[in-house]
Amino acid sequence: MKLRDFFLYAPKAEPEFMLDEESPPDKDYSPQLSEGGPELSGNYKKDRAILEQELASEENGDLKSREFTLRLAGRDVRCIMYFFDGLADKEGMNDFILRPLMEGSRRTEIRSYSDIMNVLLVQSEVKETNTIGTLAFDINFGSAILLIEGYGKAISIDVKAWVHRAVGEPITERVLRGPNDAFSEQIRENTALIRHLVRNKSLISKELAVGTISQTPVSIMYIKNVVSPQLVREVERRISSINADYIFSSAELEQYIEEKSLITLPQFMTTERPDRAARALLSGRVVVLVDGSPFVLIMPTTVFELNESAEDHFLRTPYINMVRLVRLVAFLFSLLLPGLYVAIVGFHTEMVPTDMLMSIVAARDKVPFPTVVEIIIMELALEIIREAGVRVPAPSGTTLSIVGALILGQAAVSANIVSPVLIIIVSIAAIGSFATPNYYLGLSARLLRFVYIFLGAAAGFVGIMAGLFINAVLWISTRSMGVPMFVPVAPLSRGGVPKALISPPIWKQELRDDYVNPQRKPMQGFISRGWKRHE
Amino acid sequence: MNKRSDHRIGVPSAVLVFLNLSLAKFLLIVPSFIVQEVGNSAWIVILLNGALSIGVFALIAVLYKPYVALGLGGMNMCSVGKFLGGAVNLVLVGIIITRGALLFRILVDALRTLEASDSSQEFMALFILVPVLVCVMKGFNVNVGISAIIIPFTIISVAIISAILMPHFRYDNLMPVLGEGPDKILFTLVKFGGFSELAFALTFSRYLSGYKTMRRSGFIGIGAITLITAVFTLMYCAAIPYPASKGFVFPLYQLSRLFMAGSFMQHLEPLVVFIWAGIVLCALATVVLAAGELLATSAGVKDGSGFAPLLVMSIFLGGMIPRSELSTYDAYRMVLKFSNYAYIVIIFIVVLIARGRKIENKIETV
Amino acid sequence: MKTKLKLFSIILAAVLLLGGCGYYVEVNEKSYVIAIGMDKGKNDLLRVSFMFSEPSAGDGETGGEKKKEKDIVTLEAPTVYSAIRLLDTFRSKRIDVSHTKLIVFSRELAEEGIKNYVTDFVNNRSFRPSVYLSVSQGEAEKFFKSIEPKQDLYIEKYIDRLFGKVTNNDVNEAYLYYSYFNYVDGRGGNLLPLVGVSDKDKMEEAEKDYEYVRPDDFSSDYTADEIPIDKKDAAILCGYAVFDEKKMVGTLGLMDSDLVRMMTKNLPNGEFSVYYPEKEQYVSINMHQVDKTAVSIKTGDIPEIDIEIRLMGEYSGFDKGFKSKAEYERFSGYISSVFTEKLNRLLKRSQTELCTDMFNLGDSAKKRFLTNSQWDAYNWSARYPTAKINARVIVDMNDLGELRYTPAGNER
Repeated sequence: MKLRDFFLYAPKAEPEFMLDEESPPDKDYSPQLSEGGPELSGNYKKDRAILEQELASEENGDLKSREFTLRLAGRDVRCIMYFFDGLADKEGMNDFILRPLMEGSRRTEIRSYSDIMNVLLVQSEVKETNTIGTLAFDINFGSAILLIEGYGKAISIDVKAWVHRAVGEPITERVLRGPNDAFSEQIRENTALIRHLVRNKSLISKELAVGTISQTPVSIMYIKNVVSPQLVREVERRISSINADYIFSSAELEQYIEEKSLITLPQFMTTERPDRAARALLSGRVVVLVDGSPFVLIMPTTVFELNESAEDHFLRTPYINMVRLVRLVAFLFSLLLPGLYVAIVGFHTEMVPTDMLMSIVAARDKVPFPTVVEIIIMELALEIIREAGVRVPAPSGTTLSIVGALILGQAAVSANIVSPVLIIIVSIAAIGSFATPNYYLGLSARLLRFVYIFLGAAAGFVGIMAGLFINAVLWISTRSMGVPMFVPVAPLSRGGVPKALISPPIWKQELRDDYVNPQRKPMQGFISRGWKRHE
Repeated sequence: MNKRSDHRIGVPSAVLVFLNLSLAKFLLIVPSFIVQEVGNSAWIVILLNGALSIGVFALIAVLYKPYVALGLGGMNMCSVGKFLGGAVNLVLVGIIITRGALLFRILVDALRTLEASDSSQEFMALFILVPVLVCVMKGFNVNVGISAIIIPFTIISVAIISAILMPHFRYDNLMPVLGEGPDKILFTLVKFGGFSELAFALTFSRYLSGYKTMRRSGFIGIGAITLITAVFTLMYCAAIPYPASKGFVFPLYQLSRLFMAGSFMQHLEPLVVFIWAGIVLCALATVVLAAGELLATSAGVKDGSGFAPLLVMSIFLGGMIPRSELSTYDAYRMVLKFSNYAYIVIIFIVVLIARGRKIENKIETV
Repeated sequence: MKTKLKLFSIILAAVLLLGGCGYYVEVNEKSYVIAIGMDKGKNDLLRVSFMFSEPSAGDGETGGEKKKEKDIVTLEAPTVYSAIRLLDTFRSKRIDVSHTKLIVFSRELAEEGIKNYVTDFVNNRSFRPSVYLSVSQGEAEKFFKSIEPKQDLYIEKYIDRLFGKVTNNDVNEAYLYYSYFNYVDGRGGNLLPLVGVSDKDKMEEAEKDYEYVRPDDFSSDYTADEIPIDKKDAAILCGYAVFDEKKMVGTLGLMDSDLVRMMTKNLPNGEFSVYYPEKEQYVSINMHQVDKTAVSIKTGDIPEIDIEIRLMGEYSGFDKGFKSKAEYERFSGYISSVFTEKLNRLLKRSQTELCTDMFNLGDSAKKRFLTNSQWDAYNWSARYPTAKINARVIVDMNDLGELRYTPAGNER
């Protein structure tokens, strides 16, 4: 190296912050029990023994078997059918498996094993396999397994009849003017509800099984020619890489695939409404359904979308914008009002009008606790009552709410534990969290409220501003499937800022959101109302 | 700071970075400096300064064109060599940090007085330094993101304050129109002139999507800050007559004290804390990021966030050096006067050397 | 790296927190000063009176009549701040002046000059810029003791409403900040509201001079302690104290207040009683200002000031009524002449007797100069007493509810 080179600075040829063009999904994380395992030998007795051992027939009280014979090529052939009591439809098995095989084989002459599948078994989903793992998987899903002497494979027949709730109304997202059907715990019903709304061949429902032991079915739904392929790949990669024994709900799945679990901001939207899920699909997002959970996950999402409720799509434009503003104010009250109150009475009393200040002073004079302690007592009492309310049996519910109101309200004030103004502050903050459409966002306000109370007591408005700044930094740096949660404001996205802040009329919502990177940007024609074309 | 997932930023975000660096100074303190010199014609100085800076920036932009992708630090290293370039970067870092430290100290003192005069400065410093540190650690894009919230909030708040204060504006307070005279105006222009923040913003030029972005954002940024500051200064001069306005240090605070809409809407100036603290936090975070960027380039490391604790601590220690509010104020005036020119002169010299030497490894930019 | 950073942050936070926690004071641990009165005390000291509002008064808990308690403490000290310091020694709660609404100077003190006191108050950030300043004909302490807010729940409400009427309609200089601006600018013309306590003897003396039946003689006028109110020791706000650059130079009475309204701000709605010789009775008229007062100034060795005020009036009617257009116009002309004469007399008084530009007419002259030094060299305050002032008040009278002309354009 020359001396000159020692002093020269050689900059890198390419900047270092290129986006990865591809992030190929990694499929080798979870062992798939449904593929692989020992195979059937072809020997009836031996296969029976293997299967019974695999299914733990001695221990499993709900594993039932029915041995019978069928007539094949003029001779009686032994068969045995296994199923789990409670999972399989008994009437279906009787009518569509046992009767055709036992009676039908004697009425109709069947000459080969293939006739069993093609002539006798009339069930819609029938498959043959010789892998024990697949058989075990299927029987646990409500299929009946048929073992036929002399036939090297077993037949898995879908006779699911799980006990489940019918399609009901949404609990948390009721609307006045829209549909009121909601997802249930059955994944197949849920996918059917979505397909009913999006009747297009491009709607894909990719099936995965998550949980090494539970093998919980998970569906990733998307519209093939709208969604960004990178997004689908990333979702699939994260879900298929989960290495856990069980996942029973979308809430658990959410925690496995979100980027930051310690932050209070939810990173995916959850909904129990099929219309909301369908709308999300059509706007270029991915919907993830988990068997056993009536809430589905929509990704990616942003903070502005979390502030939207299901009713927004059924309201006219002026009302939507007013209601959004009210929600934003409610959220801010819920988050900041107690902290601001503490800051104002502790550091900035000059802001309060003198009359109001005198009545606060008169009320507070009798209270022995500092304002911070008062607020903490009230907030804790509220949280305890809220928690109790979740678990209280229905008959006692009314009584408890009255007691709660009395404790928090009248009695606390009369006993000079808290001042009356504080009751109002705490109540408005509590109601504000309920006015937030997203439950988890409301929960985050409930949690962060305590932080702001302490910051307000420590340093007044400066403390609150410092807290808001850190909060904003942490939330801005959070991503939902790679999309920053404050987009289109931070970072700025083309044309997105007005749309995020003010909802335009539906006929003006021509383009899909830029930040989901859809393949097809326009959602509507330039003039979507054809009748206006000639005006 | 240049994490793998960072995107290039476009014109709006680049303008925000520039406003980030400038608004804190121009909205909080500079109008009072200028009013003290020229009286009620301070707004004329701001407008002239803006026009002058556009000219200076146009020249810098043309000279700097080949080095946009390198960034200021990279350009320094390329033009005068590794060690000398590193030394130049260190000098620039010193200037940036000194200004940041004094701005930090001014805010601490102001907040202490506004809120709780018995609190110690260290206690108040905690609520400024920790958010800055958190923001810096998250990277440049998060800083741009938070500016996208705080800067518009600041501008809208100032607009609302102006609207509420309209009854207090008196045309007579702006007369005589030339204030202390044209000679004073020019003299003050020379003393406080220049947008040295523009030079700081060149540090981040390698995050921009190209030369055109840099040019456009520079012109828009200068225009925006000139307009905002000139209008604000005009309002300040119209609301508070000249000899009295000389005695006030924080124009925004004094204007907000004039809210007098009945007995309910009075004494709302503590709300100004949100504006102050917001823009100063953003400005300090950007200052630390700029300094970190220069240090990272000098040290040849990818990510400058490792320098953040050191830089934050330097700001704290530097800010605690002045003995009192008054000495901080005087020190800030002196540093502003010196650094406005020092920064521009250094960049000019370095970029002329680079152009003269026809530096190899030039990167083609859009 | 992240662990080191977390450790660093914790250490930084711990060190800084050890620097001393925030100064948090509960709202009920402070005692709020509502008004401050300053009189001349013995031995060159100030006699400072502080009025506090007791929060327990009127808090709505007791039924029946609410007590309006006043808590007034008077001390002698060299400055207001040393008086506050003394207060701290015997009051259990901390003194908080951020809710002070009123500062009253006694006339004696005002005649010596109040610029230093005003500057002191402005430099303390606790005092609101909108604190009302006032001058008391007698002692400020006596004025405080005579305040009895019968219609208002709290004393601070009473003060707000009473002084708010004056300052919102009339002069901004009654606010602390605007008074300070005038002083720093080196110009006079501060007009502060005049307060006083009703004094029967003074009232009788004033009644001898003031003659309603001769409205053209304005040799005397009611000031605060001369109002003919049938109540002993009533707190009254009436008239103005006029200040030049340094000290109080005179007072304006009740009648002059109307003119002050016209000159300083738009007259929103004023009721006036004027004796109309043609009809030999008093006429009540309601007048409001159509436009801002037009002031045009020609600067020269002797400044020439033209002032025009346009008013729109409605008379409340009297039994005889107007029968023709000519009568209306005569009446309008008479009203205009009455107010024009009043205004010219007042302006003359400001030049000759008070020697101060109390309406800040100089502000309109400023725009004729380019720089502050030119304006300072012109020395407006020295030229004002010799300026030629020509003031006109033009009153256009409407008849209340009656047509002046028929729709065809004929006289009624």
